Amino acid sequence: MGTAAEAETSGTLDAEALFRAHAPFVAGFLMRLGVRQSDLDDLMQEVFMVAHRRGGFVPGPARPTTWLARIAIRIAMAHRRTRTRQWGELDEEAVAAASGSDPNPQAQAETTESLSIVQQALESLDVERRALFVLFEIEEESCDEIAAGLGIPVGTVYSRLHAARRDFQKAYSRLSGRVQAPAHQVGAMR
Amino acid sequence: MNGEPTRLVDDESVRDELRDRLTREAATPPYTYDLEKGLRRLRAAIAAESPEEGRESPPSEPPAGVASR
Repeated sequence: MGTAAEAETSGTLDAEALFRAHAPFVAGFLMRLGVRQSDLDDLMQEVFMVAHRRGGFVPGPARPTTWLARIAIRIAMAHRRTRTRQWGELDEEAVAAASGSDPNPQAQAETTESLSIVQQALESLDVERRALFVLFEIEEESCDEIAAGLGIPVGTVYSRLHAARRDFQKAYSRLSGRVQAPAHQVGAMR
Repeated sequence: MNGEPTRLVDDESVRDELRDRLTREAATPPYTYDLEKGLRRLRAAIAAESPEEGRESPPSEPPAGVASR
């Protein structure tokens, strides 16, 4: 991590330095774009091999994360075309694994349900809108950084983000209405 | 910068429940990914590509051993 950080301050980041510093971001981003856990290893390699073939990250208006996000979006979209049957189905194993670190069973159940609803709502968005939503709302990138990384005007980021938030909230309302009572209350009601 | 919207988690007009869930989502990586294994695989893939990139292998030594397998 120190090596990658030093490399980042000095300028260009090669694929290995990018991987060391940003692999968790890319893995999470790909999963939130709808990539299944069973495909994650292969797609991670594709993203960083593309980064390698492009000569690594060269400092500019984009941040390494948004620059990698652009590569990841293209790879995820290409992957989606080959996996249309699985795409859009909730990866329940991944949700369970992600929430499994909480030692409190009730809290774990609530986290699982919460992640499941958010991820299902995300899945109702097309990949481009989902990517913007994730980068802005979850990864907390700024609109300017997203625009620079994805190579689109910031006005386009605003308008797509607006549409993404509208669609997400609509899907979320529908899904949360279906799962109104938290798990422990359902148990109490029998 | 001027038009930067307020994030949903910071927007008080959004339901608390949704804001809580987004906060939880952001705090919970949605994957279990082996970073060390991934890094080893990446290094191997880069190493496998570098002879082609450098084009330094002598023409008298084609990678026949690999090709014939």
